[in-house]
Amino acid sequence: MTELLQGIGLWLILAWPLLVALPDVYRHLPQPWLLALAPAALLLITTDAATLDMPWIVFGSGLELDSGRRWLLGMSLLLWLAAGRLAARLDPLRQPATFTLLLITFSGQVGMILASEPVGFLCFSTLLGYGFFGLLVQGGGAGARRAARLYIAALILADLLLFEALLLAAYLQEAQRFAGFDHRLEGETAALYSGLVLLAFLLKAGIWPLHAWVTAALRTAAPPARLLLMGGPVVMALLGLWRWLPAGQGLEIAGQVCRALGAAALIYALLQALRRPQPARRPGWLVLALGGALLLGFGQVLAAAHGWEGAAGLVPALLALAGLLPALLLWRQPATPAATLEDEPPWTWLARVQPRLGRLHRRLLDGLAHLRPPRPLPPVTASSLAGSGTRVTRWPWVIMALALLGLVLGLLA
Amino acid sequence: MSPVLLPDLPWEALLILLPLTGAAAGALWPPAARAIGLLTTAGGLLLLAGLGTAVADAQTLRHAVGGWGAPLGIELRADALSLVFLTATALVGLGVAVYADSYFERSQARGFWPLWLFLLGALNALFLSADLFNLYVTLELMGLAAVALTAFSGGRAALSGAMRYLLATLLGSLVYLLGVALLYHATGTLDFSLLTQRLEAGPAARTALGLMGAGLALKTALFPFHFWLPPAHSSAPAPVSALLSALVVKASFYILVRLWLELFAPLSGLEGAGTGEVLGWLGMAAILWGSWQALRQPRVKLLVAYSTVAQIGYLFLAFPLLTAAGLPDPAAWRAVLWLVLAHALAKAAMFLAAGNLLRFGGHDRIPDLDCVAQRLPLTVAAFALAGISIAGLPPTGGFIGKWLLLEAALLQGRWDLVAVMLLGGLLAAGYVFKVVGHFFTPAAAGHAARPVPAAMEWTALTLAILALLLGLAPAWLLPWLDLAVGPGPAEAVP
Amino acid sequence: MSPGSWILLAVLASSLLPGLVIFAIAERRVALRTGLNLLGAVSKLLLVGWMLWGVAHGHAFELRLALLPGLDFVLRAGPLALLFVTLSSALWLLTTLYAIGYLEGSPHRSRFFGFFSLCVTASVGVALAGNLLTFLLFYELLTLSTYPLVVHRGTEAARRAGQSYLAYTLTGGALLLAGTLWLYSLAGTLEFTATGFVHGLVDDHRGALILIFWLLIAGVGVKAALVPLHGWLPQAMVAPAPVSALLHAVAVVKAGAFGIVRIVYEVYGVELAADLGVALPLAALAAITILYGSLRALYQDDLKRRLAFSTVSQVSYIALGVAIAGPIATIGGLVHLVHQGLMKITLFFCAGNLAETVHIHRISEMDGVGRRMPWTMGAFTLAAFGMIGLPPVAGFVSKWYLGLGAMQAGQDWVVLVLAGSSLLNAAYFLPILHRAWFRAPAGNGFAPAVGGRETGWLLLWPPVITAAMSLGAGLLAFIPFSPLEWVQFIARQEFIGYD
Repeated sequence: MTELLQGIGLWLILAWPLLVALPDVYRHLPQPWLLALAPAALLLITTDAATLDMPWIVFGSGLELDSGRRWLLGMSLLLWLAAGRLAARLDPLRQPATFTLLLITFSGQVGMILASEPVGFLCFSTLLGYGFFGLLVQGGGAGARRAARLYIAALILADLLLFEALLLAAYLQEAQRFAGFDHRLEGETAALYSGLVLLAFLLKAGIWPLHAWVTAALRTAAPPARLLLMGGPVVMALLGLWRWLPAGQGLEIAGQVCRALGAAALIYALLQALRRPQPARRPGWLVLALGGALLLGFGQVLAAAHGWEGAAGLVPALLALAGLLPALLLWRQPATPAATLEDEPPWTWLARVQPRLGRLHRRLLDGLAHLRPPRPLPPVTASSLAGSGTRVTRWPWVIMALALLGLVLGLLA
Repeated sequence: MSPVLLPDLPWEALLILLPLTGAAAGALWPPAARAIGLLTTAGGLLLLAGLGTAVADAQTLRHAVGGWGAPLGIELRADALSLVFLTATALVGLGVAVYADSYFERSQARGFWPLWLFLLGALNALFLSADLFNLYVTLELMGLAAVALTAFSGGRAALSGAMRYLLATLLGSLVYLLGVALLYHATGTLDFSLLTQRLEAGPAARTALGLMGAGLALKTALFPFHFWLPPAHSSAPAPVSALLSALVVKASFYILVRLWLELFAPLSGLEGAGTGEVLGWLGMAAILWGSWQALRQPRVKLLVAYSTVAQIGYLFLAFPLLTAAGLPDPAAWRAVLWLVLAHALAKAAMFLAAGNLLRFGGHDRIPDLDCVAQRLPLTVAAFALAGISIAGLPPTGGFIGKWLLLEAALLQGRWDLVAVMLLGGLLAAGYVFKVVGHFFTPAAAGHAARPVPAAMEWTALTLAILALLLGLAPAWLLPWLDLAVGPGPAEAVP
Repeated sequence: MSPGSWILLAVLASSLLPGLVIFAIAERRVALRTGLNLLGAVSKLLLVGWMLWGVAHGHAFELRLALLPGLDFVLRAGPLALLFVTLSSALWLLTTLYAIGYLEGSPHRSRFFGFFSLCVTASVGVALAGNLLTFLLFYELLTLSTYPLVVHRGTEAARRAGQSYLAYTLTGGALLLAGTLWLYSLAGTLEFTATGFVHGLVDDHRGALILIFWLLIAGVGVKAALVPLHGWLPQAMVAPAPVSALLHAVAVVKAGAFGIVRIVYEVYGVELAADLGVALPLAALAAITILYGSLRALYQDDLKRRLAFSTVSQVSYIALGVAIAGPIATIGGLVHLVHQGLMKITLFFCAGNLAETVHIHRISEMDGVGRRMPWTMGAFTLAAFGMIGLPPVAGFVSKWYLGLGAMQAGQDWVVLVLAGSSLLNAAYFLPILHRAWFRAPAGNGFAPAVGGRETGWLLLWPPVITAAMSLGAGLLAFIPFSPLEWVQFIARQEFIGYD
């Protein structure tokens, strides 16, 4: 009985916010924001551990709640409560859309936390990712939109890489549970798999040197989006890294890469913090540094052959803490002046080249189209009946042709 | 069953006499012409049913007129082959008669009915004749009646078309008669069954075949002798056009088929293959040229007339197809007979529909055919359905015919024929939908529309639906055609 | 006739008869026409449900009527046929509802709905055809019955589109006819069987078989819009929105794709196709089509044109899955037959709603329309996500199986094609979504909603339902009778080597 209740509860904390997210429902509920988050809070308080197996969802999905996940769930609740407070101070015209997007991202976030297998994780990450894109765009001006564009490019690319990695994993083994993720990755496949996953989550987490959208978003986006940035997409991406790349599987190279990148990110963040210590930029450096530090730690665990057991309990708590720290900082200075973006991200040349490529392509197409001449219907000539009547009046010819045919037929017979 | 239900009447003779009597009666007593015409045409269908059951029992019926037998007297013969053509005549004839009843005004109708019944009698006689001279006589009678009908509406175009038609048909008959004379000189008989026994390969037979073939090709309007057909068929009144295209050109083709299947092909075997090849080439040329010309025509009736030129080409494609023994391929002939039926029904429907369009809008210029679909939906449906059958698209009679012919050609590896047939089908679809496409454009204001009686619309549609139904019923009809084309059932597949 | 074979005729008649009667109904008798339409659509759905149940429990429905000597008219309801039949008849019901709302008050509705019903009859016939001749019959019938719908508007542009449609499809039909006849003259049978019926001919007629394969593929490839035979599809978007939905999702394009499945699997057989060396070129052609269609879609400003090029791209997933010739890839291809239908019909419904309600035809006019029509754009968003292949919408499931099957068959390049296509899909769908949801409307905004509703019920519900279905098809992929489950059932039944 309690299992059933817990199962329903797990479902409810995902589905309920999505239902409330519909503007028509939201408008008619008293205290909609608290109501939307209430099931999650209830479950967090009342339940230690629960599992729900859903064999007919996607390719057989499952949800799970354990002590580690409770940490993250708690962090998410806190963050979204705070974000809701911030959203309530926004321009009333923008509020409905912002609340909808907040609830969508909440559902995505909680789903990613609870998912017990990679496909479900990926599904909910879509929800979180695109919802967060909406939050970024929704908030502010041109700068925020540009950050959002960068973010969505990273998101699409990362999702593709994850898709390929999942395909690879599914091709190698049948069961796709995080718990049973212990296929022996060997040789090239291991490198390919870990490379794909690593690149994908680094993109999603905005770790140096792929951090452009993080810093830009933290300066220019609307307050709720900024508040959620670390605890939402970044921490979830790091969580994904932890879930998808199991330690003790001979992934030392990936571990080394993580360590190197993490260290570099940390150093970069520190240097930048010294170089540009304006308050508006501080959250960005903090987020970068925290991401780098976590990655460094993760690389350490991954590279060590048997360092897994000790870290397992610690990781969720660390992630939760990392999610909350920048939020605290931002909570205290919610109204940051929108700083101008003097540092262009390294790939703006793409935007300059794109129209030219487009023109080239269009010209190519035009050329191709010209190769095939347009075929209008043959013009209807005015060959009226009288005209066609005068055309053939040469009877002698007819008789001769007739004779010829007769001759031919007879001769051949 | 026939002995019980039907008395054993001389169906063949009645089929000829009834329309001729009707024609005479109609001419003598004009006020009753309409009733006589309709009743006689409908009666023909009943007689045909009687003949059909008799043929089903006995395979081939012979009837000596007046009790005089073959060498001296006139003998009539009915078998499955004649039955196919008679059926087409009766069905199309009935449809056209009903149509004409509404089409012609009272004064015109008095002239029409006797001529039509005369034509019907001549056609029936032609299909039932068992000797070459009778065939000549009936061919001539039919030609005269057809020319008279063509000129019927008066007007410059009609008269000039009819004149050219008259000259062509006379010339064709003359050349045919020369061949007949030659054969008579060589064998001393004109009866088919006797000729089969007596005819020997030699210069006389060759010359005769050449002359008769050429004459009949002219009368059938085989490319390049089609020049007389489009003006004649397009300038005649709609019911007459339907008769000319659906039936009259088929009559001379029927004679050619008879000659080929019964006299010359068994005689010369593989040596005569060249003749068949020539006819086949002309057929291919007719398909391509006729379809191309049809595609270029600015007026509906001219388009339909050129389509007839193309469709006649299909009928000639069976000539080059031979069995391993050098005999005509029964499968191919079966296909051709199917096409004859399908084409007769569909082409009649098309001409009748074109007549409706012409009457409704006062013109038949294709680009100005807008808004017809909304006012004459039945006519448009008839034209489209018939056109689909002409283009050989499923599920129509035209498709089945084309499929059978293609199959026969493929089994013999005749890729040229296959390619031409497929291309011809595409071109046909092109010219049909060139017209149909304009049915959907919205109306331009100010049409001097003249109402079209419902009977005219329904007859066109009924014929078109018959052509469509033909495509659903091959399993029942094919055995009949197998009877018509050869001794054994046609082998479909190796 | 086996017992229960009448149901096959009944399924055809349930749309044929209402269609024929509707032709005769006067224009103004809306209620009668609507009633007939819905009666036909609902009864067809019930009959199909019955057949589904029967086939799932091992019954076979077959109807055989003599047509030509040695060749029968065969209807057979196997699992594969029912996949397409179910898709067509379910979407037909929704499209009919939508069309009733869309065409409210416009002229020539009797003609429209008559041909609409004929069209569905033909596509169900294509699905149920038990041999190549029957397939050909219905395939051509489909061409003919769709033509009046394409030219329905009666404008000059519509007439031209209709001409181009016919020029392409009738030529395709002629090629199909040639291939069919040739095959018949060699094999002496045209009956679809689970592993193909031409094995015996390989030794003597290898070259001919390869040629015939390409003839047949060219014949059905025209409707499936394989590059370079796709030219008619973008032009045909001048037709009203329900017709576009029909062309792209329910009938025409699907009939072509379904034909490819039949030819590769049940005429030639996978092994033979691979042995003849025709499977790989077909896969390459499909891959080129996928990328080319997406590239062209990027540069279209007209919404329906962009969607049309997107169809060109997406339908080739089916061909690709079939041509990879592994069981799992085939599952991906076949399930995409359904998934693409659900998603694309949603997109076209939404495009129709935009055109009908706020008169938007171009993407550049779509700024901020999401606030004016949230449900419509919500459905659009869901379907677009599915097209991109984002989990858990249906497109993800198709792509998953395609990729997995390609890896299993050792053709890793397909994964790259899929990735490239996903990127391009994102590139041409996401800007639309961004405009619709996050940009401010230009000028005075849109015409206000009447009575608090964004558009009529009949226009709103069909896209919402199909969007929900495309989400459900992905989210509940493993539920009994889901498209994926059914396709796996097909694979177990018909393709050896899959369990």
